[in-house]
Amino acid sequence: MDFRRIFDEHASYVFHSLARLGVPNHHRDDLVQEVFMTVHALFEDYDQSRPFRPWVFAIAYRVCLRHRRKTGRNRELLVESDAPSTEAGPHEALEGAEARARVREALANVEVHRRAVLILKDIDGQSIPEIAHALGIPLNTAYSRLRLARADLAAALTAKPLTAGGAA
Amino acid sequence: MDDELDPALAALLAPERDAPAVDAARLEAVRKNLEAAIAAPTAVLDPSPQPPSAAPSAPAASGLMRLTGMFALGLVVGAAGYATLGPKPMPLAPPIEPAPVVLSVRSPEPDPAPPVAPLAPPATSSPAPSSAPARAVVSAQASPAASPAPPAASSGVALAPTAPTAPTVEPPAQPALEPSARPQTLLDEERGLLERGRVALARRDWVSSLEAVRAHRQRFPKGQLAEERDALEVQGLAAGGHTADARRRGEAFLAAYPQSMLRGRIDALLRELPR
Repeated sequence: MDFRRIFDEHASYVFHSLARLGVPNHHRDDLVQEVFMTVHALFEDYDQSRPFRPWVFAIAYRVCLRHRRKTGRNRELLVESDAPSTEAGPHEALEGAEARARVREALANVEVHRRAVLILKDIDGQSIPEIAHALGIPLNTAYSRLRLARADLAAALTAKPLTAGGAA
Repeated sequence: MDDELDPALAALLAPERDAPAVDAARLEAVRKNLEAAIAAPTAVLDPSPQPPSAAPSAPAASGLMRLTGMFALGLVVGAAGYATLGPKPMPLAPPIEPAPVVLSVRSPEPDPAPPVAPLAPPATSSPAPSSAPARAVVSAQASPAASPAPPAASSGVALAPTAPTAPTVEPPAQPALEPSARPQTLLDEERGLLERGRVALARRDWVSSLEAVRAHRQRFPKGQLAEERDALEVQGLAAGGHTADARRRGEAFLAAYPQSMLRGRIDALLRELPR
């Protein structure tokens, strides 16, 4: 296992996944580390015929759940905005960061187990069978959670409308 | 089943799909910490073991603690059972040859007096008992029915081409005690690794627990305590919330060790796993 390469390829994804799951910015570094410690410990179990991202997401999801239990934080505070990326131009970066902050704010209204499915499906583009496998849930549960997550998200958006371009 | 996303929602989620890479300096800092943590697993594992009852706050954890304690008991019982029902090392052990060497193959416990006694006399000859643990295992496995083995000297030669050098390296200060201690070392090492895993699990540090399991598997793929290791792994996975992996490993455990003393515990653990 080239662990360094795995980290380089997927660390950003794990960061974003934790943010989408509602982990506050100031805890993300620690939890990313915990996720990759787990990846390191469990890598033997990873079935290489399957995509890596759902597997690592499932780890991040569990780390996040444990973090929530530990901090007694079952309801999330509003999502803090991340520092805009320095890779895009300042204007685009700011706009993108704002748009993401709004999406994450809306995601915070989606119950976390449902949200995990929604993230994997509607943001990461994974298939439902793959999601069900990664999260260790029955297929029908995955479908059901997805449906409910979308309803939660739509309701959150109705309550506080967003626009696709990021402008509120 | 229809899992198409409404286009409006899809458009709203688009910024998340295109999220840029996280700041490189931030990632680098995490990576350094991570490498340091991975490079020093013993630093995480070794600190004074807290009592298993240290933090039974979460309801799931208390069950786990109970399991861990029972597991320790199971280890002893299971290993003892293994020694009795396993590959029958005892008939190979008789007194003539370096008996402790033979006994080391499957004896899960220190096996105190019997092996030591026959070795006490040879103080007169060259300090041959300094057979290394590796050799000890080889000797036992290579002579499955060797009760009337050749005389001690010849067997020593056959098993230990490096015999002449060994005594000079290791001063035979206690020739009668050394051999009795040595045959335990591999098993002790196995037991030590699993103990670290159990202590970590009791601290709810399941990552370190699984690290210990992994270290054991690498060092002793078919070790004498493989069964206990596999059971510990199931517990570690369950404690970490890796339900699917725990279930898979647990079921594999039950299939691989249908007669295991730990079967009931793993069975119960699997039943408690959330669906």
